[in-house]
Amino acid sequence: MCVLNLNCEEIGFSQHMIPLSEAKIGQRVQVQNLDADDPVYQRLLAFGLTPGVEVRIAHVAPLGDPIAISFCSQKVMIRRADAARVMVEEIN
Amino acid sequence: MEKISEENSCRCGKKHCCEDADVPEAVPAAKPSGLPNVALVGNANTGKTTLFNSLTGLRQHVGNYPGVTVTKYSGPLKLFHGEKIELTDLPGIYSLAATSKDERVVIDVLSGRLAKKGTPRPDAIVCVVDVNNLQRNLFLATQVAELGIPMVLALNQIDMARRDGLTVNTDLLRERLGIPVIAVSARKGEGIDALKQAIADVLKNGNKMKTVSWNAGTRKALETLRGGLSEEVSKRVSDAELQRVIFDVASLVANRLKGEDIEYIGELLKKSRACIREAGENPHSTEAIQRYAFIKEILAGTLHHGKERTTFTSVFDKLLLNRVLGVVFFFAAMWGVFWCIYTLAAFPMDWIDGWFGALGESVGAKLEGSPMFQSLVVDGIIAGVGGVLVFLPQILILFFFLGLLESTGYMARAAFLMDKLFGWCGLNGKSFVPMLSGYACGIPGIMGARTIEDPKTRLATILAVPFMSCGARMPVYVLMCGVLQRVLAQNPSYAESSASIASAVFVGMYLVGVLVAVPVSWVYTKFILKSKAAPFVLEMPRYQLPRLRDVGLRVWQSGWEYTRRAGTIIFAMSVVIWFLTYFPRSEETAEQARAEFVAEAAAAQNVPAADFEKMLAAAESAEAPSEAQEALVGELEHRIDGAWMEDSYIGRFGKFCQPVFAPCGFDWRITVGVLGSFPARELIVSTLGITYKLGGDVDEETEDLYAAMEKTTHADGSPVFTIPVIIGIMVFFALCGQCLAEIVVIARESSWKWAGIAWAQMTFLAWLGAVLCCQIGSLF
Repeated sequence: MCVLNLNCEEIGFSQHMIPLSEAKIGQRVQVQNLDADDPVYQRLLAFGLTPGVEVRIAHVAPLGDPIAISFCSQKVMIRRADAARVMVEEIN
Repeated sequence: MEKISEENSCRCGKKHCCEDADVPEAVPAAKPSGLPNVALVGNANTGKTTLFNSLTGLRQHVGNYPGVTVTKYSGPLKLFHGEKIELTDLPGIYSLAATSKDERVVIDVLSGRLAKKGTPRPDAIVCVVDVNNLQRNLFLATQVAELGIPMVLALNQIDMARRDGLTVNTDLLRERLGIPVIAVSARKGEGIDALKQAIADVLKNGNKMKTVSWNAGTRKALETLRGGLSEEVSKRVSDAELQRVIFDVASLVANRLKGEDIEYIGELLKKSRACIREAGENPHSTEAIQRYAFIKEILAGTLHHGKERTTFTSVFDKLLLNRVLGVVFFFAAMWGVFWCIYTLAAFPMDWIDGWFGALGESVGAKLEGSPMFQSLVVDGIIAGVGGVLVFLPQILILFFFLGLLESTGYMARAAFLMDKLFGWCGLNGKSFVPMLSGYACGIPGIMGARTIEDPKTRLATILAVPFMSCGARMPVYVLMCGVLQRVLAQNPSYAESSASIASAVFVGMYLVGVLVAVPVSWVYTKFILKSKAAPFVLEMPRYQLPRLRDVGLRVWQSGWEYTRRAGTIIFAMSVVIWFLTYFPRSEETAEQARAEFVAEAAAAQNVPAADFEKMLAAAESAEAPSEAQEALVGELEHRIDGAWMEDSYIGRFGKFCQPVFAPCGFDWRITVGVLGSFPARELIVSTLGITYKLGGDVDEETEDLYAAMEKTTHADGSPVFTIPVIIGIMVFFALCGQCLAEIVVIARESSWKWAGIAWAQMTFLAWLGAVLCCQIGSLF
C-alpha cells in the first residue's frame, strides 16, 4: 500500500537506471523524477506513479508485449515502446 | 465544519478560482428542465455508472455532447423532500489533463462551457471514488475541487472493502475535506439514501472541497501566466483552467486562450513554466507530486487495512494471463461470443425477415389495385423498416457481451493478450472484439468500437471493421463459388479438383478483408491521422461479478440508439433507393419486352408469332390457368421485370458506369448488380436474378441462375464468367463498402466526412482488387 510506503525513497539505494521496458517480470523498480514532457509519464503520474514509488512488473503478455505493472495497489498495462521512455532505478 | 471548508476552498486566494467569469453561476435560461443539475464525476471502473443506474434507472436520456462523439447520459432523480434534480453521468476519466475528448468534455461541462449548448454547469458534483484505491481516485477529486463547485464524495464499493478487511474513517475524511463523505455500495444499494440526503445538503449549503495549497513556484507560474494575458482573455478563464495549460503541454484547454497570439502564448507559457523550474521543481511532475503529497496528508490515519490476503484478482490473473491457459481461455471465450452473434442471432434475424416478408405479402395483397403504391409500401417502406430492424439482434447480443466483458474486468485482460497483434498498425488490443464481430456484421462491430478510449485508435478500428467478411457477403461467395466450380469442372485440368478449389477460394475470401484492412489501417495511422495517439496505458481493474441490470440497460440503450439515430436515416435512404430501382417503369419498355419475348419464344417453338400471341393472351386472361399457362405468364413477367430493371435509373446508371467496370471484366449485368447492391451486399443475388430474367426470388443456390451465368457471353462470344472475373467479383464484394446501414452507422459513430472517406476508399480498393484479378488472371 502506497499510503503506508511514504518513505519509499529511503528503501532502495540508487543502483543504476534502466528503461521500465527492460525490467524483468517480478522485478521491483522505482521511478525517478523525470523532466520529461512525455504523455506516458504524465499518464503514469496521474495514476500515482510519483518519484520514489515502488513498481513491480506483474505480467508480460504472451507475445512479450505489453507488460502489466503494479503499484499503489493497482495494476496497469503499458506497451513496451511506451515503457521504454520511462527511466527507473532497480531496487535491491 | 462546513464553514472551515468554505474558507479553505480557495487557497489560491483569487476570485476566479471559484467563479468562471465566462458563465455566471446562475444561467436559468440554459437549463432546459430548470432543475438543479448534479454531475457524477470519477475514474473509470469505480462503479460510477452502476451508481448512476441505481439512482436514475430507466428514466435515463442518452444523447451526445455537441460536436464530439462522447455519449451523454442524464436522468431525473427525486430527493427526499420531493425536490427533483437532473443527474448527469460524466465520462469516466483519470485526470482533467484534457488530452482526450472524454477529459475535455468533463472540464468543459464543469466549467460551464457547454451551458449554452444544453449542458449547464452543474450546481453540485458527486465525486465517485473507489474506496479500495482511494489515493489514486482522489487525484481527480482534487483537480475537480479547484473548479469551485460544491461537492459530495461518494466512497463506492464499500462492500468489497469490507470483504478485504479495509475500514475507512469517513468522519475524519469529512472533517479534513470539508464536504460530506458517504460510504456507498451501488451494487448492494447501500448508502444510497444517505447519498441523496448529502446531495440535498450540499445543494443547500454549497460545501466545497479543500484544495491543494500550491507551493510558491506554482503560484508564481500562475501569476505570470495570468499577468501576461489580455484582460479580455483573462476574464474568460479560471485559475484551474490556466493551471491545466501550465501543467499539461498537450492540454486541449489551451484553445481557451484564443484571441491571443499563438507565439506570444508559447513564450508566456515558457516563462510561466520557468518559474516552477526556478523554484527547483519540475513542471512536468510537480502537479502530481504536490497533489499526491496533499492526498497522503488527507488520508493519513483514515484507512485501516486488514490482514493482507491473496485476492481473487491475483489468482484469476495468474490463470487468465498465463501464456497457455490464458490464451486458450481467450479464444474459447471469443469463439463463444462469435458463435452467439453469428449462429444464435440468425434465429431472431430469420423471424424478423419472416415477419416483414409475411407483412409485405399480406399488405401487398390488399394493394393489388395500384402496383406503384404496392411496391412503395412493400419493397420500399416495409422492406426498409425490416432492413433496419434485422441488425438489432446482432447489436443487442454484441453489446450484451461487451457489457459482460467490461463489467467483469476481462476486457482489459483481452486487450492485454491481443495488443501486440494489433498495436503495430495503429489499432490496439481493444480492436479485437469489434473486428471479430465484424465477421458476423459490421454494424455492431463499428458500434462496439466505442469501448476504445483513444479517438484515433477508435477511428482506425471503425475504418477497419467494414473490411471483415460479414454474413451478408456469404451469399455472394456461395453464388460465385458455385459458378466457379461449374466453370472449373469444364476445364479438364481442374475438373477433378473443382470442388476443393472452390472451397479453398471460399475460405480465402474471409482472409482478403483482414489482409487489406491491416495495411490500410497502418497507412492511416502512419500518414493520415497525424494527431498523436494517446499512449495505451490501461488500468486492469479488479475482477467483479457483472451486474445484469447494468448490462441489460446498456444493451437496451444501444439498441434504442441505433434504431432512433441510425435507423431513421437508413430507412429514409432505402426508400430513395427503392425509387431509383422502380422508376421510370414505362409501359413502352414492358410492351417492347413482351414483343421480344413473343418473337423469341415463337421462333424457338416454331409457331407463327400471331399464334403464340394468342396463346399468351389466353394464358394471361385464363381464370383458372393450367400449370403450363402459369409458367408462361411467369416467364413473361420476369422478362418485363428484367427490362424494367435495365431501364430503371439504377440500371441506366449501371450502363453509364459500365466503362469503369470494363477493366474488371464485368458486363452490364454484373455492373448493375454491383451498383444495385450498394444498399446491401446480398442484393446482388436477387438483382442478378432479375437481370437474368429469372425473377427476384432466386437465391444463391438456384441452379437456373448458375446455368444462366455460366452461359453469359460478351458481344464477341467469349464467356463473361471466367475464373479471374469470378474471383474478381468476390474480391470486389469482400472489399467494397456496399452497405447503406454500415455507412450510416460509421457516420453516426464518427462523422459524415469519415463515412464518405470509408465508402470511397472501400469502393476504390474493391475496384482495384477486381481489376487486378481480371488483368493478372488473363495473362495466364
